[in-house]
Amino acid sequence: MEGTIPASIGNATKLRAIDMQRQKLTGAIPESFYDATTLREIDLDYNKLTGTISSSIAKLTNLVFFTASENNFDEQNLPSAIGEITSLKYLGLDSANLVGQRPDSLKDLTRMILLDLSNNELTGDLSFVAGYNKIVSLALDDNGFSGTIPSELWEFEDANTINLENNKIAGGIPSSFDGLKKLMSK
Amino acid sequence: MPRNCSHLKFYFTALRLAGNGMTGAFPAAITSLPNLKTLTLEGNAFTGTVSCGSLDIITIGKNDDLECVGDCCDEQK
Repeated sequence: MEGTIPASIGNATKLRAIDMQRQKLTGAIPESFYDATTLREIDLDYNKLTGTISSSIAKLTNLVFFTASENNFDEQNLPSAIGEITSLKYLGLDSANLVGQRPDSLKDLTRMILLDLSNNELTGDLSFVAGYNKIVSLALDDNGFSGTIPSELWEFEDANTINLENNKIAGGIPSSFDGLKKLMSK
Repeated sequence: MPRNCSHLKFYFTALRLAGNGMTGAFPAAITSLPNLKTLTLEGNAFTGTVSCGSLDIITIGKNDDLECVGDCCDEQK
């Protein structure tokens, strides 16, 4: 598939999933795209999309899976509106030209299972992950995140892959935490 | 990006912390976590001891006073 994302997608009333990864999509995501409110899964990885991710994404209140990594987006802030999609479990915006302070609303995505915001220029602390007690994979590497790792992260039993490389994170790791004690006692 | 990983029930298979400004004693017991295969710590200022354990990948590099114990250590300095 080549060309732009058809604006008519916004007219779809029963569309649940869009998988357009690794196509040759160009241009911006049309504003009408965000009118397809029945969407649960959107995969736009590895295209040549430009423009920015609109705050209208908050209209997609059924969204569980959204990924648009490795595109040619314009420099953009991660819209605060993304935190309004509390149904989100998978969010992938690796190499999405995200810059600046991460929105406080990220903390509201407490169903998150997989978050990949690596290879951007995001700043701010990591306190938002304290409520991610279902997280399996957290990739925040190669950004400008600072502060310390929230102690809660060490207690999340599903946490599998944690990548925080190449940030400005300070502080240490607790010498003993519940998850570690449980494993060592088995 | 994998869609379904909710079935996974592991605990830390990869812990990548390299290239930050982390300090303090690195809890040696972490390297004994049975599922941990990747640990990257270089570019921090951890102290204490790490052991190779069952790790497939470990990178220590420059840390202020972090001792490495095990067969994998020769490659670290």
